[in-house]
Order: sequence, then structure tokens, then C-alpha cells
Amino acid sequence: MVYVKFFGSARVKFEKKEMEADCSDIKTLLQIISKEFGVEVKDVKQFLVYVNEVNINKLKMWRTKLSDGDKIMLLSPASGG
Amino acid sequence: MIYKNPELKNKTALVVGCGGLGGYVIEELSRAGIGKLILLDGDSFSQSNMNRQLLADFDTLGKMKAEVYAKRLKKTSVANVKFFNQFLTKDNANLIEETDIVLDCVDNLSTREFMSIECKKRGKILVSAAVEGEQGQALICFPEEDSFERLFSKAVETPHDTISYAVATVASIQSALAIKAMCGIAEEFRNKIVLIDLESMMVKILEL
Repeated sequence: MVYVKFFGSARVKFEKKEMEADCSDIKTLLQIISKEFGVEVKDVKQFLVYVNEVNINKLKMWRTKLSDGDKIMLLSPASGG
Repeated sequence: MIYKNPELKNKTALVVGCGGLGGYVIEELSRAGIGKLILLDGDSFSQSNMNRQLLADFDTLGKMKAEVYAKRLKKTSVANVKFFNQFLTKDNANLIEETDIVLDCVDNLSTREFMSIECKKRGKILVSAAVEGEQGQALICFPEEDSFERLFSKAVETPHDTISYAVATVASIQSALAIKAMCGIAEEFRNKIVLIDLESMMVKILEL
């Protein structure tokens, strides 16, 4: 099980702060989130994604593997002033 | 110690947006001892601002924000202050030339993007911040880096709604980053974002 937290506009868009998911890679996680919130995967791919506070750009992007207990952050920047 | 740093009195900051974030940033930079402030906002105070904008009150409704802040600074600060009742456009972007740092306190993506481009063109540091709900983020955008693009290319426009303490907290972190950048001690924040979540009472620094 991995733990997902939403930040910024992602939290506003999904109206949810966090969730758990049973998956072993980021690609599958995005599909789970897409189904959970009724959005397209490409919309979820818009967010910055961190695994244990490391940007997936520095890992294997959408192919990044996940382990039990991993903490994932999905972030879309706030834009209000 | 940064609060004893004499550098600030020789520095100029351009604050773009004198609303929620901008109001607190202006207050904090001026009280920290900055030498000069240039304030830019084409908006006036309205009743809906009163839940979070520092100088929005029953006496200032309908008055121009930049002008109201400039007037207040005469009573609270020895900083040299210029104000313009204007939004940032290509016609006044040259104001960036006069400044050491630009603070992005606006509320829309297109102005933020324009500001980022104009700062890079002129080799100026931009400290960008934004708030949504009980959360927000702040980051230093050095002109030679693409931090702004890496963050805001992921932006999703949502209706803005927030609360007073979130605005004040995010603005304070923005002010802190700006002052560190002006004093040349912000290297550890290069390519990083400071994430603030007051729902969970969390502040986190992440690499972009």
C-alpha cells in the first residue's frame, strides 16, 4: 500500500487531501487516481509527482516502481495571490 | 545574522500585486529595512478583499491599493517608495531594470508568466509565491534557471479561495526568501520550492 497526498490546486481539484492505493508503480497509480476522480490520465500527469520527496524526473518518471509504505505527493502549484 | 544585515538598505524591490500576498510582503520588507520599494497594482480595494488583504478596510474601499500602501509606508518606514496604479504590462516592464529583485504577488498565471520572462530578459531574480485554500508555495527563480517553468507548466487554474492566515504565512516565507536572495545567502534554495500546508501544519522544501 502506498500513501498519496495532494497539494495545491490538485487538492482543490480533487477535493481530497490524501488517499491510499495498492499499486507497484507510478503508471498504475495514475490510472487508479484517474478512475477514482473521473479524470483522464493525461490530466493527472499534469501534476508534479514526488516519491518519498524525490521528483520522479530524477527517478524513472512514469515507470518508477513503488514499494509498500512509499509516500507519494501530487502537486499542482497554487496560483492565487 | 540576517536581521542585522546592512545590505538591505541598499536594495530595491519591485512588488507586483498589492493584494493579499503583496500587502504582507510590503509590510515585512519595509519593516526589515529595505532601502527602496516600487509598488505596482492597477486594482482598488473591494469588500471581498477584507477577509485577507492587510489594508482593505471600510475607509480604503474603492481606493487604489498601491497608493494606499505607499501612503501607509510614509508612517511606518524610511524606505524610498514609488507607486504605480497600474498592472504590469509591456509598457511598464522596464521598471524591473530599476530593481534588485521582483516579488510576484499577483493572482493570475498569465501575468506571472510575463513577469518571469521579463525578469529573465533583464537578469533579475524573481521570488514567486501563490496561495490556494490553506496551502501555498514560494520559490526563488534565478534568471539562469528554469524553476518557474518547471513549476508553473504544471499549473491548473482553479477558482481562488483562501484564508487570512494562509496568505500571511505564505507571504512571510516569500519575504524571507526575497531577503535572503537580496543578501546573497539563498543558494541552498536554488531549484527548490517551499511548500506550505496549514491544513496539516507542514512546511516542506522540495527539489524541482
